[in-house]
Amino acid sequence: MSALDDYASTSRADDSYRAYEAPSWNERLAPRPAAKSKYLQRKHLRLVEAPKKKASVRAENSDALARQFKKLAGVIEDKYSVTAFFRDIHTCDEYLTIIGMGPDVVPLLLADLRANGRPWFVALRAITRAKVGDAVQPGNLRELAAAWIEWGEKRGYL
Amino acid sequence: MKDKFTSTKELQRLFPKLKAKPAGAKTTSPIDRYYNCVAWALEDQKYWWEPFEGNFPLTHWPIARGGYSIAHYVEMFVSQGFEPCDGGEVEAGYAKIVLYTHGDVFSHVSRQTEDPQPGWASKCGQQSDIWHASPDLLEGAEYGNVWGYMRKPVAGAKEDVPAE
Repeated sequence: MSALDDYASTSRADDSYRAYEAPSWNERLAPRPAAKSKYLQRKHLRLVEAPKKKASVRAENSDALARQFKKLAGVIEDKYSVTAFFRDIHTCDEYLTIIGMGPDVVPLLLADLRANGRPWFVALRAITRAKVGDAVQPGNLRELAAAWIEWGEKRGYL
Repeated sequence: MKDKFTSTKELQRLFPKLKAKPAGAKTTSPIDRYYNCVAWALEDQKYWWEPFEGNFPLTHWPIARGGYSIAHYVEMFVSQGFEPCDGGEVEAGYAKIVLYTHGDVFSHVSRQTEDPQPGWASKCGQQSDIWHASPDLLEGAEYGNVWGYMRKPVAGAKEDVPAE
C-alpha cells in the first residue's frame, strides 16, 4: 500500500474532522472572554497593578509630608508664639523648610490656614506664585486669609 | 486647636515674673492671629501693624517703613498722636502706652486699660489678648525690658483745669 493509499484509507475511515462545525456568525461576533496570556498578564501588572503600588507610595509620602509639616508648624508656634513680627517667623529655618517642600505642601498650608488661621501667606505666595489678595488692604489678614481660602477651594485644594 | 493662653502655666513659662505673682495676668480673649500688639495698643483689631518689607503688601504701616528700631516705632506712634511721657501712672485725659525693647530694637507695646480692672492690655503676637497688672510683669526673654512710656490725649476727654 502506497503512502497515498494509506492516507486516503485513514482519512476516509476517520470522520472525526466532521465533528468540527464552523461557528456561526453570531458566535463569531459574540464577545470573547479576555485572553490570559502571560504577555497580557505582564501587561496587566504593568498597567494596573504598578500604578496602585505607586499610589500607595504616594500616600505614604503624603503622610510623611503631613507629619513633617505638622512638626515644623508646631516648632514655629512654640518659638514665635508671642512675637509681634512676621519678619522673625518668615525668616526662620522651619518656615523656609516648609517653603522648600514645594507644591505638595500647598493643600496642608491652606487647610491649616482655614482650620487654625495660621498666616501662611508668604509661603503660599512663594510656592504658588499666585498673586492672591493683591486688592486687599495691606495688613488686613482676615480678608487675605479669606482670599487664599477661596483660591484654594476654586482649585480643588480644599 | 488648644488655646494655650488659657493656661496660667503657659503664661508663666513665657513671662517668668508671673511665677511670683500668678494673679498678675490673665487671658482676656480667644486666640486671634490677625492683629498684633501694635494694633491692640492703638485699639485696632483689623490690621497687623509692622514695618515688614516684603515683595508684596502684607502688613499695615502708616509711615515710610524704616526697620524695627525703637526710634522708628516712636516715630510711628508720634504719627498716631502720641508723645513721650515720664511714667505709667494713670493721668486723666490721656491714654498711655508702654514700649518694650531688646536693646534698641522694639519688641512689644501694651496700653493702659480699665478693663477688666486698672492695669495694662497686651496682645501677645498671634495669640490672645491678656490683662496684666503692671508693665514689668512681661519683662524677660520674650519682650526684653520696659523702654519707656508715651501718652495721647483722649478724644472728647475734659482736660483737668486747675481751680482758680
